[in-house]
Amino acid sequence: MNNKFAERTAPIALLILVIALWEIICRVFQVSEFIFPSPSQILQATIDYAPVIAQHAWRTFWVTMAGFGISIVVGVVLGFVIGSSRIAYTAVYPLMTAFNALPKAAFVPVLVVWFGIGIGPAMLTAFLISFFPIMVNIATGLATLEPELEDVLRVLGAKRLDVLLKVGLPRSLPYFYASLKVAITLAFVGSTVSEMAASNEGIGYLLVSAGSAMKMPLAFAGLMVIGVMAMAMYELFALVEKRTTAWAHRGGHGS
Amino acid sequence: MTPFVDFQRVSLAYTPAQERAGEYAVEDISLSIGKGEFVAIVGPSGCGKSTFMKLTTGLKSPTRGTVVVGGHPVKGPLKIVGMAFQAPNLLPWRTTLDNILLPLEIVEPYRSNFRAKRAEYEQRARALLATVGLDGYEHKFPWELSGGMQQRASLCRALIHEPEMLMLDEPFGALDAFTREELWCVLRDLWTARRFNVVLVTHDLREAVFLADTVYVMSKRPGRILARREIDLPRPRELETTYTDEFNTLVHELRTRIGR
Repeated sequence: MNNKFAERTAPIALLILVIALWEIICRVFQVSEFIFPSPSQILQATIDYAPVIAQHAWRTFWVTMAGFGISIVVGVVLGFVIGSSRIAYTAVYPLMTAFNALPKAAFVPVLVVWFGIGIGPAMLTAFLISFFPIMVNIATGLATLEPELEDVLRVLGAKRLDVLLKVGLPRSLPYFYASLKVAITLAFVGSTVSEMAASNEGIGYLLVSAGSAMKMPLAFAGLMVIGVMAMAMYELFALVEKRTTAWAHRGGHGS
Repeated sequence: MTPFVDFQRVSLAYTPAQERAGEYAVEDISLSIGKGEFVAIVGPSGCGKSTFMKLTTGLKSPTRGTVVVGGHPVKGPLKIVGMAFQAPNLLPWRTTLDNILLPLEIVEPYRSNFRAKRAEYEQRARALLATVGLDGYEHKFPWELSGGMQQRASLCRALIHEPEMLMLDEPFGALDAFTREELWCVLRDLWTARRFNVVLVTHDLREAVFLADTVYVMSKRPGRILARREIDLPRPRELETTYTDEFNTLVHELRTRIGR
């Protein structure tokens, strides 16, 4: 009981500790807010600029979620194709790995040429950066079926599709959720980076303009907001994962 | 009497390259299994026992020779077969009951009316679970069952569509000695009640002698049949039988045939 309580409160306790330490250091050494604002100054900026921050945050949020939605669809479809066919796997995988190694920020200028300044580049950067882990995880889940289980079903006259739907997909669900948690944080990175270079709205834009206006507390407030949004989405997917694939997290359910 | 399973000079190489090199997984196998016969196949590891199973079930076609099951040459997967392996391979997201119903969701004629007759099939699955001593575990998940229980459930899954033939590939290999003997009796009782054909692939000579009507001994690669031994121990056989001299003589005789 005591241990569980400690486990639950540990992240919050650490957060409070870090903020307190930060505040103390800023005050004791009288660090200028143009260099490194203290938490209280950031909080003040957040309150002062709340409507502006909210507007930019909302923009970044929905653009990211739209890009993330595309990457779920594309990632699942590609993962399904790659995972269900050996030829597709060997053909596509090296290309995808090479693509994934490219810095996605480098795509932004190209995307601007194609789609102009605005939501297009941000959404697509979020997509490009986040579909890879989803694809890989779905493919892995499908490709690592136990051959004996496949025999059991094939003797019964099961088609390849039967095996994939009855066994492959449910089996790759835990992998899928694990990848969503990684992908959503990446998606926020993608949209923010893109907004910094090519947008006039969104947290990325806010960061750049606050920085150039020397409003450091505001810039830090923007960073905080991104972190909070990504963390909230992460926790949401973690919750969905626990609810739908309890069987993959033994101990936690039933026994 | 026409045999139920008939192998005539069957050889199998997995790839054309292996065929050219003369590397066969099994070579020149001829045997006949009668309807309802309990057959055990023993031999050292890598002797092509699993290949034999794939040939019998139609998952592989022979490179040479013919395989006839139930009067028809085997051309594709045989739906009259149920299979169980050393690993129970139950799906962890399904309850025991749903795991056992899985074959009915796939094999015809059950597949087309699965939704409509679900209640009836569930009843059948429960009855089957009861015969292997798993009543009350219908709604448990596989990871909540012990290894022996999982293997019982795996047997039920192999039998739910009432196959004419049960193929078992070292089904009790991973269990401890006591659980294994318990499951021998479970299998013996199921077979006595239903009289399907059984092909049991095993390393365990005592298991083979205790359960089977006929034991075939296979050689190392390429797998050939070295010996055929009818087990004439009277039935029903009890675990006590395994301590008789007669039983041990048979086991010893088979052991010498395997060699090494």
